[in-house]
Amino acid sequence: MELSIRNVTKTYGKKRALSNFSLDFKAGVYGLLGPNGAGKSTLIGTITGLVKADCGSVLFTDEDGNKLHNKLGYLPQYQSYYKNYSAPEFLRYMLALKNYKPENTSKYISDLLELVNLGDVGKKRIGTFSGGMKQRLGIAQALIGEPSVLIFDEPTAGLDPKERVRFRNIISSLGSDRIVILATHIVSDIEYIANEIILLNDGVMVDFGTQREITEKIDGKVWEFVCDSHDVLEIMSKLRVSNVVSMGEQCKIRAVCDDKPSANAKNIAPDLEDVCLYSFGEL
Amino acid sequence: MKIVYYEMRKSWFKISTLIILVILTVLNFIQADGTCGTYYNKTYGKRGEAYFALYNTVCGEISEEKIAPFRERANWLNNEVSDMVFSSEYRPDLYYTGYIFGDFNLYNVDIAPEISYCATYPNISDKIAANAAECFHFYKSVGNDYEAEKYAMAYKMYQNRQIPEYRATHWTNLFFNHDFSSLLCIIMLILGLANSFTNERESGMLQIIGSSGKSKSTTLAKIASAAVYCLFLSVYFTAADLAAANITLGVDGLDMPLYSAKMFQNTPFSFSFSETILLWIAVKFFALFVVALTILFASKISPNTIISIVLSFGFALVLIILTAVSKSILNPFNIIVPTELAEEFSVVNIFGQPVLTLWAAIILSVVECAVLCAANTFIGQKSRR
Repeated sequence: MELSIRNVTKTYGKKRALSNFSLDFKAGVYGLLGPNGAGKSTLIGTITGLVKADCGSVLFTDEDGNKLHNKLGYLPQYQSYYKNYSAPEFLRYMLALKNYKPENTSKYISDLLELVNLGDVGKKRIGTFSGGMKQRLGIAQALIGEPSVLIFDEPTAGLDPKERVRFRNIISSLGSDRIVILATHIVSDIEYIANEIILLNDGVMVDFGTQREITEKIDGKVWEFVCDSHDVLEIMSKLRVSNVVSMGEQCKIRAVCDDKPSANAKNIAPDLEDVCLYSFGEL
Repeated sequence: MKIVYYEMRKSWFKISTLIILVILTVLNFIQADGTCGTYYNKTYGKRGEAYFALYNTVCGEISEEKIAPFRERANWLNNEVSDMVFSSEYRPDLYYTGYIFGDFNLYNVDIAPEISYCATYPNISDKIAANAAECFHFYKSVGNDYEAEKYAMAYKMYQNRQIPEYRATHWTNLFFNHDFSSLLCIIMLILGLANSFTNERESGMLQIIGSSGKSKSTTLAKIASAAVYCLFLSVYFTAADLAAANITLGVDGLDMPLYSAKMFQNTPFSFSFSETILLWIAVKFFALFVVALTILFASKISPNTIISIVLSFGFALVLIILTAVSKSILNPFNIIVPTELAEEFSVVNIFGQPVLTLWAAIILSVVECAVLCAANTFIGQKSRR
């Protein structure tokens, strides 16, 4: 099973949202990282069919190279669903919408709700659900029809830490035999579960690879040093600072730059946040 | 089909709609009772008790044996009150209404004209048929085929008409002129359908539906759901109006021809009242469906539900105001209660053929529905950019 994107370009007026994007996806979890306006939503839109690319192609094929249709599960940002529906009723609606007919509909729905830890919601209306419950319901609806490709757009925005951990665990379990694309600007979500990472900025793919491959590229460019507290603001204006820890009259700074920023600065191992700061100039 | 059910559940098939429906049904009955019930209750007692006590002695097939005692009594009452000197004593043992003047009104002002209408109606319709025949010959002689065909149609419709029985048809004034329930139908349509498309955007479902490739089938399902809703409202409020008429005035003679009611003495149609009621449901359905499709379109182009509701109410208000200035059949509000189209012989020219205005109105509604269906399917809200 493969998702092939070839030379996809999309322009809105004078702004080029996506520029000649090409990539082949196989089974696994892909993290799509980029700042606001990088082109993540546009790329997702072209894959889901919500955005018509100016040129290029998006192709789903199975193991034998045959085209796949209707094999996409999508969880967009900001979902509130139908407030007067219950969770099982909503999933039945999604079954009807996707025209998917499991052998035992009731069992299929209850299994799906159990998978996303919503097995005990019963006939509670979706309007009474918390944000985390709605997101989990979103995963459940995305899984209907046994899709080969799952796309999640900013799935953990607004969730508390416990819900985010729960969400990550579910996503990890789904990536073994599917293509899962996780678009977010929350780096920690990608760090824990993504097999491969796509860095996108201004519509262009800046880098692609495993977390290790990407972070190794900025080896020797991440520094840690101590400075006086009253110098912090000046340092932040001159360097790309990823972290500041206050130690009373002094502060420990973590910064990303090509040259040693201070006499007492030491190289430290880079992480994904450092990569984003280095590539995008922001987190 | 299942998706149509879910669209119904999203928009109008819910408890809140049922609650509003019950409230509006009660309101409808109060309005109907206020319009007509008061007259009969005050004049002839509860549910026109006195009226029906006399009516039951003369209703049915008109015969000399039945009419003679009625006529005699009516003449006697007329003589007794003609000099305006009569007793005001309450005598329920002597008079149906309890009063001599009340009975005079009952016999001579209410029931006698009704019986007379039934007995003499063939003269009215024969005269119309004769006039139509004369006009046919004239227009045929001057080579005006359209007018000749029109009067030939009229002749066929009005000849050999008879009212076989005398039945109480005063309920028709209430039922066929009652347009309050049509206003309630419009309110129900707006409340049920104004959020049909805006709901998808506001709930975030627009993108999920779009990514499933089912945008068009979802739109068609919403249209089908709206059609079911219109059919339900047409049947429900027609039944509610009939029930209100029955409770208030008593419904009788549903198998009698339409022209049995004096308000329809010039009608071109020979349907029975029950057939006409079914026809009314059909016409009402198409008129409501035109309005429903317009509300759906307003929902499709509106950024949120509030704007959609405002647009829908605005559109309805404009059409209601227009009904006061024009009776054009282009305006669906003019045919939600199609009584005026059935009262008189009236035709429109369609491709050189005279077509009764009511049929033309139905055809036009169907065309309007088709155009609006296409507009809803191909224009407006896009999940795809």
